[in-house]
Amino acid sequence: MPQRRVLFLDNSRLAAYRVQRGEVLHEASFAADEAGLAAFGAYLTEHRRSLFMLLADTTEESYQTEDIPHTTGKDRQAIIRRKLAQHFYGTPYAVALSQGRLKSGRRDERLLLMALTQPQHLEPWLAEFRRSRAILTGIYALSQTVGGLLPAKPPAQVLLLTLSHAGLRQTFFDTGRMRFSRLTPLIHDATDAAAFAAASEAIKMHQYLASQRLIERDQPLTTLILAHPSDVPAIRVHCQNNASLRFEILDLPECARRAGLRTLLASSQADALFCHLLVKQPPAEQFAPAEERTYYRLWQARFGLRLASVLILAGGMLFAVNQGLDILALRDDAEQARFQARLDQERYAAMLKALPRIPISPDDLRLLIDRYDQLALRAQGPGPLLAQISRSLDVFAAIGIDRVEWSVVEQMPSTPADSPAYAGGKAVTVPQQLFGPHSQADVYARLPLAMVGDQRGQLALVADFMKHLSAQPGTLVILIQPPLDTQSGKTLKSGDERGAPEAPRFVFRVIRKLQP
Amino acid sequence: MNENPAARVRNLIGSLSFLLLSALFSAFIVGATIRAGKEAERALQQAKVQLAESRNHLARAQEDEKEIRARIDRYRELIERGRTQPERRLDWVETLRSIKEKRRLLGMEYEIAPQRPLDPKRPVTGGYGFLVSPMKLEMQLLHENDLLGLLADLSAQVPALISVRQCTIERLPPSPQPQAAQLKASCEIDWITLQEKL
Repeated sequence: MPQRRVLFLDNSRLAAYRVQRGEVLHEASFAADEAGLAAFGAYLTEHRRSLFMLLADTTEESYQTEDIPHTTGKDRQAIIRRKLAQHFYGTPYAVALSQGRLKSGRRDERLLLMALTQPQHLEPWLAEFRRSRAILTGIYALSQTVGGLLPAKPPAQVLLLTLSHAGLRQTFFDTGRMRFSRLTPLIHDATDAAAFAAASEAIKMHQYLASQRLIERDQPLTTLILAHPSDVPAIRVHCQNNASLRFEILDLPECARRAGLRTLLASSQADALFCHLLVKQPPAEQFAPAEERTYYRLWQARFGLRLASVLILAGGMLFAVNQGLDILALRDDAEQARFQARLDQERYAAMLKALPRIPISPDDLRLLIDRYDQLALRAQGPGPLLAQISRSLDVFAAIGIDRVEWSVVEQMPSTPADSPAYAGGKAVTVPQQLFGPHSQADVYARLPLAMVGDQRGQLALVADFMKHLSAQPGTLVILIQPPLDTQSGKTLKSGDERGAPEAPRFVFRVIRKLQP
Repeated sequence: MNENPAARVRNLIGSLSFLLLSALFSAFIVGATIRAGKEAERALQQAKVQLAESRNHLARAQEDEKEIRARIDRYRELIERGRTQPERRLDWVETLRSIKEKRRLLGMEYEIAPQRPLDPKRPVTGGYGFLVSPMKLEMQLLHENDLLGLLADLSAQVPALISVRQCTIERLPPSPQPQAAQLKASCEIDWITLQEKL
């Protein structure tokens, strides 16, 4: 942070104070002569990077109250400029303080117009500022700072008397707002003289304020005197309460402590406290024209840019740190996952190691054995199915076999859906599909010659035989060609009774799923 | 206070440069850390995938341990039965003759075709090539058991896997001669052997 310095200007000199962390250090005083100005120029050059506030405590001040129509923006600025020019022609050091809006009539805005009316007192000092290119943040009147000394709940109207190197300042506040202030230079620094001046100037102020109708003439005006405890006895002697004034003492060390000032004050002259208050709570309005504050504007721009730079850097670094922590956590998680994976792989390897040793990998082993088992499943040969057929033929001895066509099939050959079929010893519908390897036999069979004329008996015998054959689980028997086709859609012919009779023939298919 | 705009800008060049450098540096840091963060996330995802795979692998292996052991037994059985030995056609011929004599088969004709891969589209399975030598067999039988006995003896006596693809058994017309063949069988049989592929 930059160093802040307050230049306390009165009619006789300019005192420079350095204000830092609640301490106010008097660094130098400069007389308003050529040598003093030269020394001041050197001082400014030496502290070019400081921020200077000029606090004027002069007798050449003017305070005017004006009510203006309530406007905003450029219109208001124009009115204020015109009012300031009307009242304070010849000085550029004038400001307007808004005192709020009136509660009656048009509800105009009340302004307190303030000016430092002798610019020639300021010019030599400001010229040094220009020469040294020092940074002037603003010009302030002492009356702007003393409001901070009022108690938390001040009387509606109060007169505050303060002492400084320049003299005795009397500032009048109405409902907490400063309405008027003036400085009375003191010829002697003696306590008695100051106490006497306080009493007499208070009376004059009362008369002035009453004449301006700012206070009621018959109401006692609370008068606060900011005084060091060592000066209080003398003040008590001279400042007696009367019908117009009611005096109260503001304890200077206590006020300084409350304001946060850490510098000890030795007398009632509270210049250091005013400097401290100015830095701590700079007034919103100041007197310096814009051109006198060019370097301050540049400093603000530089400060803003550097602050933005620092914020960007800090933001970037914070983001990077946050991201870095996230990255560390992610890497830690990844390392944990890799470690777990390694553990699993080691356990897998250990499990494989515990298995009997063979020259091929587990994956190859699985592929090899699965394929071999598929082949072995199909290598069962015709034996099982032929044996099953033989067992049924043993029961139905009248049926003879002429031909058996056995094969291993992956899918059942197409068969008419209306062919009689049996499974589990019962008639079933011919299934559309059979998946997987099956042992299949197409069997060409014949019935006894004696059954030539017994068509019904032929069909019954064949049906019984097929039921018996299909009783074995997993077996499907389909009648491909019956001994006699009685379906309505087929041609039915009689036999040649004159020729030699032939044994009735039929063809059936046996399918059984191959089981390991 | 006669600073012109150009002089004011010059006055601010240092601060503007600092701001620019700060912005560039911060952008670089932010960009680099974002890239590093994405890289770390990618690495984490890869590690998670790796972990999931190893977990699955291990879990599957633990579940399949019994099956693996059974397969190992099957593999050893294959080796012990000589399924992986090169085919020895002379041994086969002698075995067929031996069975024919032992079972007193009436007649037997066969033809063994050249050996070829069983699965031309998948010449190697589990590190082994499956080879097949198809055989056509025709026999005169007194009884169907002659055929079934031949096939059983063949499976028991040769190292190759004997896989019958199809058989047709047909009754012959009755013959007045005693001990004449009652049946005729015609079969297609695969002799399957395994050959290790390196």
